[in-house]
Amino acid sequence: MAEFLQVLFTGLSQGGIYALIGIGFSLVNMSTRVLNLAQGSYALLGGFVFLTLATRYGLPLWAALALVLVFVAMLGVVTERIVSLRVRPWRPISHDMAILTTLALVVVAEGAAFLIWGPDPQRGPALQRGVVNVLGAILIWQSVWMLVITLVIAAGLQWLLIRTWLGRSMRACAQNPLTAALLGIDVRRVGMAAFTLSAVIGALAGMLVSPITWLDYQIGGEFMLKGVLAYLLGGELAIAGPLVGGLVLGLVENLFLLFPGATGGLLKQVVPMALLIVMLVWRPQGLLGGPRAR
Amino acid sequence: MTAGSPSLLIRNRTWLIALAAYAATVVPLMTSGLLYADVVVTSGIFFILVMAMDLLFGCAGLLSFGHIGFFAIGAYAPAVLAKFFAASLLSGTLAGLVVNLALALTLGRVFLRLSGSYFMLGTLAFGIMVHAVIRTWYPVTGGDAGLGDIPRVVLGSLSPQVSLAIVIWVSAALLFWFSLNLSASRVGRALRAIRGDAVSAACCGVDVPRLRINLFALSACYASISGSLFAAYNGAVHPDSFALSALLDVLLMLFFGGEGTIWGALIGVTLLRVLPDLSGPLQAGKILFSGVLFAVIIFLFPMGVAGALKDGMRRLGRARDEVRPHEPAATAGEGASGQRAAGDEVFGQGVASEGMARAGTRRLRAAGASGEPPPAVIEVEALGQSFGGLRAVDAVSFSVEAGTIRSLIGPNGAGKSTMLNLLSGVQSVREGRVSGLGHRLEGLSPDRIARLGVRRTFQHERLFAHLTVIENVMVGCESGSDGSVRDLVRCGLALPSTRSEAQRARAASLAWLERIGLADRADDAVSALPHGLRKLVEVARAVAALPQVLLLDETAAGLNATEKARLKVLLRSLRDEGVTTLLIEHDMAFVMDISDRILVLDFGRLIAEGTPDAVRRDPAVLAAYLGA
Repeated sequence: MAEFLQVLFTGLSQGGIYALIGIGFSLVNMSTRVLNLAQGSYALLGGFVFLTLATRYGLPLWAALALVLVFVAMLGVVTERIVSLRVRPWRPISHDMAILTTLALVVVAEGAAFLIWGPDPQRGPALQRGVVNVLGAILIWQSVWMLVITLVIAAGLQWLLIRTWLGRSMRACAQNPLTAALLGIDVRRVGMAAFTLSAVIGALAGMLVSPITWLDYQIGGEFMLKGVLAYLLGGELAIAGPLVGGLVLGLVENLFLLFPGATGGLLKQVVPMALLIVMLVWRPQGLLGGPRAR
Repeated sequence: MTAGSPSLLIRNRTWLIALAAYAATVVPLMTSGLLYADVVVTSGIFFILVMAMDLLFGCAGLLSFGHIGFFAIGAYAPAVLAKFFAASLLSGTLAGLVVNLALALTLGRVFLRLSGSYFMLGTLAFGIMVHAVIRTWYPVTGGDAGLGDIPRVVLGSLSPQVSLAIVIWVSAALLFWFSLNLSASRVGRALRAIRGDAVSAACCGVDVPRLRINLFALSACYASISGSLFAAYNGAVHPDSFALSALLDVLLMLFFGGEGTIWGALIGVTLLRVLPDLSGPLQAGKILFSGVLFAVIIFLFPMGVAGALKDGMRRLGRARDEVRPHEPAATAGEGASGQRAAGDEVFGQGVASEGMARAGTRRLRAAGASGEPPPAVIEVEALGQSFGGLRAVDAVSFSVEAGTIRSLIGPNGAGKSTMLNLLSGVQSVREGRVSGLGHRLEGLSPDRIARLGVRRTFQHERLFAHLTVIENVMVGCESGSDGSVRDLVRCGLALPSTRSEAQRARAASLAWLERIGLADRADDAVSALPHGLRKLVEVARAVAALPQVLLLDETAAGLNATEKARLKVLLRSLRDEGVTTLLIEHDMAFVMDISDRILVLDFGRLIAEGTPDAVRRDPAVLAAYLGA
């Protein structure tokens, strides 16, 4: 029972990370209709820069955090600029080209990480060390914080989308970018804000998870996969979709770790894919529904 | 043109020329030591993989990120089987093919329902998952250490390296030949049609889902073969060869070469196999290098090297055309009289396909002539369709007799186009029943209805932008493809029957273009035509299938007076040939002139039906139109 509870909780907190990546993915997609595969790379670079600043240069955590967020926000803006470099008012963005460009950026980030940090996995500093005992299950404080922060971010973003001008603009762009532009919304700036926001969320995910899963240069692609799965599973509701999708994904993955040895690890890889296929057959609009028209 | 060729392989010569030119460039470089033999051999392997992706993306517009997964499975199958069962390379390759085929058919069925970007995401997830499984499942795949001791190929007394090089390049050449044939055949046309407009392709009789799934499976087989050869060449497999950056390398080859030509893949692959050697000292930066290179290439050459070459050749060709007067007949290789004869033959017997025999309609008309009223080819009973709270079509019943022209008129929003969509299967019928040509039509897919002999045009012209004028008509004429494996194989092997079919279709299409006065624009891009002519081409595409029922949605709108007169002549002569036409039109003079009977819809309900004169005087019609 304690073991089950532990797996359950670990799954949820791991799923929170997937949810964060998925949410970033969803924010950019709703505002610009670009599927930004580089979403996992923000986690990779954010996590690595954070651990370098904190461990090698000994900066206090809050200072390292602030620097990383500024750095990653800039990365977000740069991504937006690169993706829409060829876009002109008379030549809308080509979604094939945009997705390929972001895929190239994933590999650029991977290559840069390999050059700078080398092939070996590294881990960053935890927010709070140690463990806590809940009903016999032993939980790492870091993963408790992971889940809490995920939920806080999701709630904050939901508030932002519903209550603020920026959020309403994003939702307007999601429905019809042309009409939004005609009504005086600066679609480009909304897009840039979405990219920046999603980069920051991605970096937070990377920093949070690095003490637990460690980071290596290839993890950007892995994060991206998990984010995409969370997004596809959850459905196209801006925040709630990827949040639920990510949590479910994390749970399912970790439940299979209850199997011993290599079988568990293998199932952990295969089951999410099987889940996605079953989902697309049985409920193509995702767990929470929402139209998937495009 | 089919007779006299010694073998199947030599008839389509593009592949031979391309390979000969390639060999002429590469072999001297290799013997003079400027190019490693390794580069040339691995180029053959990756050529097959990139061809697989080009078949899918260049023809059908589907970009799959999952092919690295099929490639990996193709590579691990011989390695794993050799380790556990001491199996030969050939049986390993076959096992890989079987696994990939099963996976591709399953995944294709699921992912191809998704639209473009989601298809990419789904296949990407698959590709990354295969890599993750390889790394995790170490008892079988060896995990991060990989697997070695893959059996070698030995042909006679040749050394293993040379034997394998021969096997690789012979497979590559054969698959190249197959791809080129497929791309040039009616299957290729149907695929490019789907890429342009899937709905309109279905209405031309292309079984869109089946064709795409089978193409996806075929392409996965290519990737699988390529993977097995890759494993055999290296003698070992390692997960790094199938990581995300490897996927990017393959995409790089595809886009650098230029999508959609197949031979562009050859250029892209070779150039990019050479490049990493040049960057030898930068081995550590290789991943970064290929990432940056990819981004740069997408920006600089969105059409790739092959695209640029093709563009240059087209420009050269245009310069030649200006010197030499244009010969419209040159395309089919037959004189103008030959075309006419071929066209007449087509009108007489019908090359098109199942269920389209004109004899049936003739018999119907004969029955009509012998005193009885002509039988109905379309019967609609209590047909209804709602969009939310709006009743677009409300309990409409009517029937259309064989060999007549029936118009469907009504104010905007009366439900006319919805009616046509229901009849052609573009929207599925939920209320009421529709039968046509002796079949129940409700519940049939648009391509089934099209192949039964019901063709349509669209209110806003939906031609295939990736095809030329005559190819558009040919898709209609050939009824696209039913997408079966048999069809793919027949077209890929360029069997004599498919080639003569294609020639007949081309001749017939040219005859139709002549009939609407567009024979001299046959090889132009569709986008080069003005709006009115495009609508006429769409009509030609529909009638080229020799349908028994023709559904036209506001075809006359946007035509000038001459074009309208031409359309009228065409419709009347089709009626005399036994075609039943149901047309939507707003031009009252046109409608009154051409219709045998008229149906009037308003707010989804049928408010009047009768001869033009009767409808003109009907008070309900006057009220609907003038608001009186």
